[in-house]
Amino acid sequence: MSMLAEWPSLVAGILASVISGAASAGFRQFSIARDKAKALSAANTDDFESVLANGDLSDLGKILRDRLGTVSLEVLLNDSETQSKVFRSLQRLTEVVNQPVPEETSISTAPPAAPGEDTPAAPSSPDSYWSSDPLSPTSGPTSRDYIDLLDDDERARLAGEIARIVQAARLEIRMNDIWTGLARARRNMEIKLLPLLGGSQRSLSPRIFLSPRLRGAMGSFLGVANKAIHGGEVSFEDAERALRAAEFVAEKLPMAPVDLDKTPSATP
Amino acid sequence: MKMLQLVDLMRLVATDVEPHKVIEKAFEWEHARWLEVGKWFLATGAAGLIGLITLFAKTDPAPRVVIILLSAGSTLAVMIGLGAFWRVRYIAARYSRLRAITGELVDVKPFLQLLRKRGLL
Repeated sequence: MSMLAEWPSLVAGILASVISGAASAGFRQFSIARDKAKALSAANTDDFESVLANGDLSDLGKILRDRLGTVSLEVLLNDSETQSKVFRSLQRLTEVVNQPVPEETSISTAPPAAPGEDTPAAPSSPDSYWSSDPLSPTSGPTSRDYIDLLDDDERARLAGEIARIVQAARLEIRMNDIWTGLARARRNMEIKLLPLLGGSQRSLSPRIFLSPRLRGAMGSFLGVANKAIHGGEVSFEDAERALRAAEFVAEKLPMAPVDLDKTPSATP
Repeated sequence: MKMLQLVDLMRLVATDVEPHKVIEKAFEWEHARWLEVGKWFLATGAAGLIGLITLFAKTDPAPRVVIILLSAGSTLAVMIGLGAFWRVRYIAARYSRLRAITGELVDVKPFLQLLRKRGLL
């Protein structure tokens, strides 16, 4: 058999394989594009952001399982746009869930101090009050740095807001679950308090207060809330103690900072 | 990785096994599988091409359809084999990307465990 005589068959065979290979690659590209579109819609961060803001554990679970969770790993590992969307969502989740438990406080199991018992030494004058705070800037603290330096009306308004948030959280904890109650309380406090500090703080921390007692109370609240939101075991009693600490903030916030730390009263 | 979704990775992280070890194993398997697929297809393609040369060397003519099918089949096999080797080049990059995503998930492991406990994951 002559090779020359059969070369058209040979070329036809090679051509057929190239065409089927190209068709298969084309179908694969189409399938990748379809999977990518599906993954991008699943990784949509707008919905995720609103669910994080809402602070409902079951909604968050559903969106993680049924939306973000349906992103195919194949697409995720090959497509940078999907990767950046998923990373953004996961980083937002980490920011919400992984806030540090304040160091200056711990979840105390001791009963609250009775009125009249020893409380932290009160400063004798406004000057010594400012200088007693190791974190206070040398130029003097302002209402842009601390919530308790806002004017009287603003503090009274905020105290009312915090009290309402605590009431709603207590109801949520009793009706629904601890996670949702504490997450919503923390989120709502962030929404109410942080904008007043001119964007200098991105998350709630005891340092938004100058008064050591308010810091302690906020630390107690955040200690429990952040632990629960992170996924740690938090009992109903711990959650209740955290809410009492937040109530303490609401109760004492309308007082002037200097008066507040002079007044002997129970800390949570 | 074709069959796996992000939720499977979340569930893996929420368990007590070390996810990095599982991922390493999965990529080792994938690497070995693609190498094996590449080798087998290249060998098949080479065998087909040798068969084609043998047909040309013979004095009695082979049917045209046999030549077409053999040449098409062996070229396709060689292309698939080379494609499989090409895929192996990307395994290291995909492995490091998956490790990075797993690292993000490990940071929220207690939260994922909480969701798992509540039947939400």
